[in-house]
Amino acid sequence: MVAVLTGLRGVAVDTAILLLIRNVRLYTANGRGWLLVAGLFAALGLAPGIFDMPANLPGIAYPPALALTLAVGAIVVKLLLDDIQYSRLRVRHQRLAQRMALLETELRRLREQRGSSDSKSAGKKAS
Amino acid sequence: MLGLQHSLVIIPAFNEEGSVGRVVTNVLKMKVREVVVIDDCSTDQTAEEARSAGATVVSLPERLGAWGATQTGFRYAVRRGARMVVTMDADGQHNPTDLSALITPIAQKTSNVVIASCTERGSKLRKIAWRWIKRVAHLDVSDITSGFRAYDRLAVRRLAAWPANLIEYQDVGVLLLLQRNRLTISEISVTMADRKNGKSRIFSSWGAVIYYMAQTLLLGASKRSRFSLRSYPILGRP
Repeated sequence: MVAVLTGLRGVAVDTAILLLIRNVRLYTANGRGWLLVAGLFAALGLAPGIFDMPANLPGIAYPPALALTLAVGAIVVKLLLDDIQYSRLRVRHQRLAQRMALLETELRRLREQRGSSDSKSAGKKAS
Repeated sequence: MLGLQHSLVIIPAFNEEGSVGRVVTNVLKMKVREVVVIDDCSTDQTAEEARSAGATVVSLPERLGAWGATQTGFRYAVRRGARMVVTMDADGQHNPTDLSALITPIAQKTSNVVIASCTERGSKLRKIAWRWIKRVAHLDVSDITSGFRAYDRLAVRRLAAWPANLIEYQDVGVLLLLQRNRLTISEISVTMADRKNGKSRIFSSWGAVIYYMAQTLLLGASKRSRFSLRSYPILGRP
């Protein structure tokens, strides 16, 4: 019963990911990884024994400990990659904000120059 | 030879309406090429005060902090082809009459960056913090937090480039980046006035101080170089 429930949980996560991609809430490239994770959930739920053999090789007495360790490792790597991506986006965002401010300043200067040259030419015509 | 008429003065400002106009007026009296105030999304009349005093105002669309604002000024300087840049605070702490002495080592091409140092300011606690930071980061500069500095074109280009966007504060991060680029730094000794308006953004609260120390020590430890900054004796005012 527990195996069925955990298997269903994986299938539910898979469905949720597909819906998020379909409703344009999740970038397809990010969805791929999550689909894989949900697939692993389902596989582990339906066949909890798949970790027995890999755990026995290095002599791990309690096979779920291997699954848990790998899962925690994957979470740490994912968080680190997210922070690297966040730093990249922050730099890009900051440079765009700076560029926008600089272009606005240039635009203001050009408008002022144009305004002063227009008023000069209007003064010449009037005289 | 380069002189004040070639210098572009950058003043980052956040809610400094009480002092920025006076600072701009006093700097313009020194016959510099241009004064640029980077308005870091102030909620008061900082931009208007600076503009009416004769400064070029660059208004940021969102708050980028003191370093983000200063770097915007560096990018402006690169676009305008400035040969020398001076950064100053908007709160009136820095004396514009020191500008001439500050740019002299750059004009004489003996330094890429000159720091106006005032080691007398700051509490005992702040001085202990400086000592720690300097030791961790391998920095041989007496005043690491002074915002009153002069930069030559090469240093400005380095600091306007994208790797400098990852710097959070304009003190140690900037010095370490200059160190990695093997640029020369010298210092001149100046006196600084007490802050007339506002308060330090770095040392605004104990939480901010702890955050600043953690960030700066981490940065110093990770980016310290085996090449130490070429240090020069502190020059007196000529």
